[in-house]
Amino acid sequence: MYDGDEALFCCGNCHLRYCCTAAEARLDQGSCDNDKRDLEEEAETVQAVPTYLPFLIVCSLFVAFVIIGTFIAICCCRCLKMKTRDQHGRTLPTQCRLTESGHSSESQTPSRHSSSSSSTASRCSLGGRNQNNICTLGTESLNLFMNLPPQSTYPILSCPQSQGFMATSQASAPFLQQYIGYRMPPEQTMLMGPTYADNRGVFRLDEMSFSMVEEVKLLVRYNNKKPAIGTLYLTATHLIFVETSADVRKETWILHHHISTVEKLPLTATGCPLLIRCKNFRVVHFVIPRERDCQDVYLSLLKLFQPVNFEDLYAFLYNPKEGEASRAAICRCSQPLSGFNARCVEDEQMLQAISDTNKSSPSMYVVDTRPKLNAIANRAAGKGYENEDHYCNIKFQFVGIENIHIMRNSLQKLLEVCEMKSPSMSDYLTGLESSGWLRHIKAVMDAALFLVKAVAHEGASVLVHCSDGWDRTAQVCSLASLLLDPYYRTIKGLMVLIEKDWVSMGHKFTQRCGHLEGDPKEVSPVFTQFIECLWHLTEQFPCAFEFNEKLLLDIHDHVYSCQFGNFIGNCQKEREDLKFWCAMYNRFDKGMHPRQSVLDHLLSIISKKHEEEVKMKELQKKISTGPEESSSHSHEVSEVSVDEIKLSSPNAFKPIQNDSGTSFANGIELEQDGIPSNSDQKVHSPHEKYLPTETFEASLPPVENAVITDSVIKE
Amino acid sequence: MEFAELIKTPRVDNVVLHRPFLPQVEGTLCLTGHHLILSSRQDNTEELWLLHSNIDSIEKRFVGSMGTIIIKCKDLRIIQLDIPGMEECLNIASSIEALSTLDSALLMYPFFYRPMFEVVEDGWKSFLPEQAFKHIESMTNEWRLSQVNKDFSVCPSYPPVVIVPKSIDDDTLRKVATFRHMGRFPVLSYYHKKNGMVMMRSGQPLTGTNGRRCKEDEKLINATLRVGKRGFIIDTRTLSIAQQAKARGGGFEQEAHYPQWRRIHKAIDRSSILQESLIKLVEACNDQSHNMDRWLSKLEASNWLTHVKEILTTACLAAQCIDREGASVLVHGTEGTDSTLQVTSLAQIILDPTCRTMRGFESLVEREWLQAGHPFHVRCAQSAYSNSKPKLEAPVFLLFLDCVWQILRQFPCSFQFNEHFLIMLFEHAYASQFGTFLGNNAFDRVKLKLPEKTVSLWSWVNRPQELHKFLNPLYESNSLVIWPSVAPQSLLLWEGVFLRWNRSSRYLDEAYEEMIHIIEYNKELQAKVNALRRQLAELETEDPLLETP
Repeated sequence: MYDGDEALFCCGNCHLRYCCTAAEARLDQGSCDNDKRDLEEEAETVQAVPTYLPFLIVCSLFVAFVIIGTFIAICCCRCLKMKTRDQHGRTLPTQCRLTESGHSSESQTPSRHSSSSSSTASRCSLGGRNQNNICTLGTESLNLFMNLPPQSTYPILSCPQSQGFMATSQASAPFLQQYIGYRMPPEQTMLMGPTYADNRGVFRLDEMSFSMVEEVKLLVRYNNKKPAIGTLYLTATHLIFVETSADVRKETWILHHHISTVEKLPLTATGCPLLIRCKNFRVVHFVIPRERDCQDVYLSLLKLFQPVNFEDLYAFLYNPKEGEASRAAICRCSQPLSGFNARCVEDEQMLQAISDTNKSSPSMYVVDTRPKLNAIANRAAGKGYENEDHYCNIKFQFVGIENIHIMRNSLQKLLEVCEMKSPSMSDYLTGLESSGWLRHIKAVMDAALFLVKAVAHEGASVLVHCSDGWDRTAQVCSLASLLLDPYYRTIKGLMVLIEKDWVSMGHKFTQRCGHLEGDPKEVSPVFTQFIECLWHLTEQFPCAFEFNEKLLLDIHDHVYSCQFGNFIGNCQKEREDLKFWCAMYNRFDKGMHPRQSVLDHLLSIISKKHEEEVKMKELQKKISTGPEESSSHSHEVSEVSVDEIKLSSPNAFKPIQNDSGTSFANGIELEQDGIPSNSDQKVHSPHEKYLPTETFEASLPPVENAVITDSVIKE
Repeated sequence: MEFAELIKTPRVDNVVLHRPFLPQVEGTLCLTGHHLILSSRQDNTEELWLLHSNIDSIEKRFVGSMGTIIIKCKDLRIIQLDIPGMEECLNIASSIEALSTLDSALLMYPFFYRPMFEVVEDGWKSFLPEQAFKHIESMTNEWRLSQVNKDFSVCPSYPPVVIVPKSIDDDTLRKVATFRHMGRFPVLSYYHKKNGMVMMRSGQPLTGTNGRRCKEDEKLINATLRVGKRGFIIDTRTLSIAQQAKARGGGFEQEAHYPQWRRIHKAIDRSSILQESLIKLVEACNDQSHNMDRWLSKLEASNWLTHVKEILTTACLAAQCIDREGASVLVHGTEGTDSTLQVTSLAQIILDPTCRTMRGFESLVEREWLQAGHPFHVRCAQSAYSNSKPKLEAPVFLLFLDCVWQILRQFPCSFQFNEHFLIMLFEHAYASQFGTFLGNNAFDRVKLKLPEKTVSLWSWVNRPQELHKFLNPLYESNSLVIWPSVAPQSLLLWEGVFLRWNRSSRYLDEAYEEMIHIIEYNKELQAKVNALRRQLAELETEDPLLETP
């Protein structure tokens, strides 16, 4: 019988579902079909009789779940499409490099890309595989880039949800497939040398008596006295010689199937020579110090270069997706309607499917961005969080970002602090602290860092949710994407990110920003916080972003656009010293801002740079055409040219009257116009009274009646 | 005394050094009279050379026979040495302790340091008071150079020559000196060219409880006023503290006796409070564990930024009185060697564009700090890690540098020097191979014969090889008065000093390099354009000659 509002269990004896409060009476809810029978019959009575309210709730939740499920599915599809389109249009530097390298290597060794050739490539490895060198190296280093430890691959894989599902629906994105295929060709992964050889050895261990030989000499045809010394790796598919003696890492790769003959020459004093002739007419002459090693290599090669079965040919082994790359994804959703005990097998399966897409990690994280207390409170309302017992292989984690109401109040307090008339330093700092604003900002950033660490360091997928999945979830997912993927640190990328994680995922901009008249409780500075987090990052990593504090102005794009690779996978812990963002919250108190802006200065310099470059080209052109004309000794022509110059750029003649010094000074004067002219107006008068106006004035009146007031003294 | 007596173990092998942001180094530790040296004896690794005078405090720890010494430096760095062997560790620790707390200035490293570079311009002679006076003489003839203190008998903390009003003779000065704390009679600090207003500084008047007055003192400071003009006396203490000072013979100018002067009290804290504040701040910065709220409350509790705000506000007030109100200013606190100097020097940075240049700033430090008698020796004896109870130590100069940094941050294009220059000055004030910051005043420096026996910091800094590191690439001379904001929102913690060893500055350094690149490239470009224009002009002028038949 129905036990009232607290009823949570189904006893199976009555026509109601969730009728009893006692857990003992519980029946497996799946087997109870009372509600189905009642569905039509009771539809009207439910409305009429308020005691059936729980039933109504259950029904509506069920429907809501179906709708949300559909919604997610639609979003997935949309994202998937968008992703594909994005990748066409992407201008991400690293990816550019990837594609460029594709072209360059293709042009150098045309068959290399198809991976069925043998080729030699010299690769610079300056000081190991330091990521920071990447941007300074030329195209040669691109291979290196791809060989960075697994985290180097997340620029592509870290894209949220869509990616997670993309991997399950294999054939849906042929372009992506190919893309990944390019990214992980075995040549590239193999660069890891011994580790690779060990891993790969698993496939054909029986065929290989060993994996590497050290101190092998590669005789150079034109210089017998100076052979290259290095290590020979034998892998399932390639024979690789890595030169160790040279400063520049040089590798020779020979595909087994390219080998035409292998010949073991008579033993010499220096070792046992091995002559390999290839089908592409390459002849390689190794000298292996120990005869036994040589014999092993010889025998292995004999077996490998002409396999018995078709299946052993390289084409069958070439599996571009093989490798240790993390395929971790960040997914998002809303809270599960778990209540105290409800479970949903389909949801569990879906999480399992997400987890399965990423082979590199046995488990996945489920991150609830709410504080634990809030999540528990939600359980009472039939919502809640995932029970670790029901979902296999998940690690559940709370990250404790407060809800929109607390954020709204926090901002309110912060603004009160900003509006204080003349606060003392300690008023200000106490106010800043009690507003909790920076604590909340840090919570959001910490949560994003948690995601980054999970994806980049552990290679684990992450599912993120809060209550509704459009506020905190959006903040955290978008920040994490931005930390992981340099693309999102470009202007275009930022637009894509906002479009993807905020607009299309249903952040309620209208309500949150209070665009229309509505519930004031729905207003919250969620997006502001995201922007502030971005600002903190730009402050800490000034070179890692294409955009600046003024958001859509770009410095580095024009000068050195290779700045964006700097930050990949670098989830250095932010310190506690997040600063107050004066330019944002005291935006219209211009007096509080730095009077001269480095940024403005640099921007003016850069815009000037364009002008100068244009001028330079112009002048160069004139000079190069000028002498020709004068050499032609045609009076008319030269006069015309002079006129032309005068007409086209009258100022070009201005500095000529000056000597070099003044003309240079002229340039500086121009610059001064840019900056101090602003400051001219601003600097001239102090924007704030260092004494309160009235007291200062009061301290001025005639000597006789002037009495120093207490307020002056206090001040 | 021989240093060798203090060094019980001169050498230990297999010592492991841990430093912030650098890989650990294993090598040989050597103790010399002035340095702690750790070298891995490999060519490519950097050696650690640490001046003993830079060591603020040390801690010892033992795990088995492995000893660990944690060295806390005055530049706020913390390094750790793992020394095998208990006895060696104890010996090293006690040697370091003895060597880092040598009391006599004559044993300091500057007396033993021989420069590895050729001294082109002797820094000791670069900024003499006579030169400063020449500059003032070029603007006004109301002031004269007085030799009254040439044997330091009138005021031991003043230089031998001071600038005083022309109408005041030396006898009057001697009388005034008896009425001012430590004989620090009012002297000229700054002459504002724009309106002829001046800033003076002095010690507190010794009015005592019975309200003593001194006609000569009144005459002296009134001599600086134009007819019918009023001046401001800025007392850096609060009124209550100034009144308490009366009981100890000090006090402040009575309105009745100084009718032409308005007195304003500000609240810059005394030096012992500043030292506590520094210790709390550094503690907060080094504590990695706390959360956002605790960080903010600790920052607040340290009061450091309050001091910065207070000092800057007072300096701005002084500058405002001079530039905006057109009034002369006299600044004093108790002794006139700490907060007074902070205020007068900062006001000059605000008002005078030359003080924002490299040489101008050096000259300012020399004039307003070294010659004006800021007791560097006692103030910088210990820094934030000192275990002993602070006596006279106080980060007065560091606070000044912090304030300069705040202004620099607000006007990044108006200073010829950069943040590194300020940090360098901070380091050298606390521990240096140069003699500039030794001694407490000009008299001490003469007694120690510093100019003859040591090298000046300025001799080193002003060499082009060093100078370029400290130049601000954004600098464009700005002849205007710069009014900094003193709102709490505008003042930031100086991360370059206080978080220098706690967080990597790699990304900020990269950005700085990038900025320099952009500016350099732009300069090159301009030079090229100008060269091309000249080339074109030459062609233009040549052409007619060629073509005239």
